[in-house]
Amino acid sequence: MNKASLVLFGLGFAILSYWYALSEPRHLATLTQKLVKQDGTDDFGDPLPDKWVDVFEPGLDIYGGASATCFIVGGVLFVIARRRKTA
Amino acid sequence: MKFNVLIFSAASILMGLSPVLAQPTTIKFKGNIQFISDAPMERIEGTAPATGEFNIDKQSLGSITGKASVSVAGMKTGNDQRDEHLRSDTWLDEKQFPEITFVIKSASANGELKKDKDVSTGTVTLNGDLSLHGVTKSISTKADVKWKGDKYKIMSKFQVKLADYKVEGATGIVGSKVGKTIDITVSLRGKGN
Repeated sequence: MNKASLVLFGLGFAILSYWYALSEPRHLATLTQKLVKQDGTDDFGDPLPDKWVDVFEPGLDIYGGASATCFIVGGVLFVIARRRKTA
Repeated sequence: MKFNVLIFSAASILMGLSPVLAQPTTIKFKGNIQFISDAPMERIEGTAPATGEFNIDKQSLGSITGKASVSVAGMKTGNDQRDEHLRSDTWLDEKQFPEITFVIKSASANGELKKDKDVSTGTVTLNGDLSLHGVTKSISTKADVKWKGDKYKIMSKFQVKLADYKVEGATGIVGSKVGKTIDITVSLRGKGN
């Protein structure tokens, strides 16, 4: 296996592992908005309702896409290198 | 003189009966629902705008009647594509069933009214029909009715089992990230006398 393929396969695996084991919170779908608690109380003395704020928390749709790209490019490079070797 | 006595007597009787004769006030409410789907793969939190119209008699909360509606089109979970899926015919089918409604059929007051500073709070058990995805089921939920001057607030928490309302959703990884039971918190505010 050539070096570039090996690196790309490793990168693809690393990206997926990062999403699964380290990304917190772990999402399947990328969040562009998120509900956050607000400090304070309303005029009835109840906590204020959660509020939508803009965020960018990537999910498996992005991590998975990046990882799949690495695997596909790595695979193509692997096949090209193998063909060159046999030619 | 006789006429004055008659008027005075009638007024006294009416004043004495006023708590009994108190008319419920029709109040329009606005607010939202917050829903949480806790599945093994992912916890999804979202909101949807809600409106309601309730007849409330402060002296007798058990006589509350009315209806609340939630707009399926306004449902939001923080991911546009997921929101589209939620509204699609795979899940809630917004085109065919644009609203989720709850109509109160009966109610009973639980315990005494509480008064903290100028906020009065009463707890009621609401029995009614919840219509979701074209299926209507009777449910029972506790609700807090609060008022302060002419401002009112109704809050309630309950759970909805998607299978009860024939919301089957997608299979595979997409379906598995939605919990089978959804926790719903309703918070509505209104103004009236």
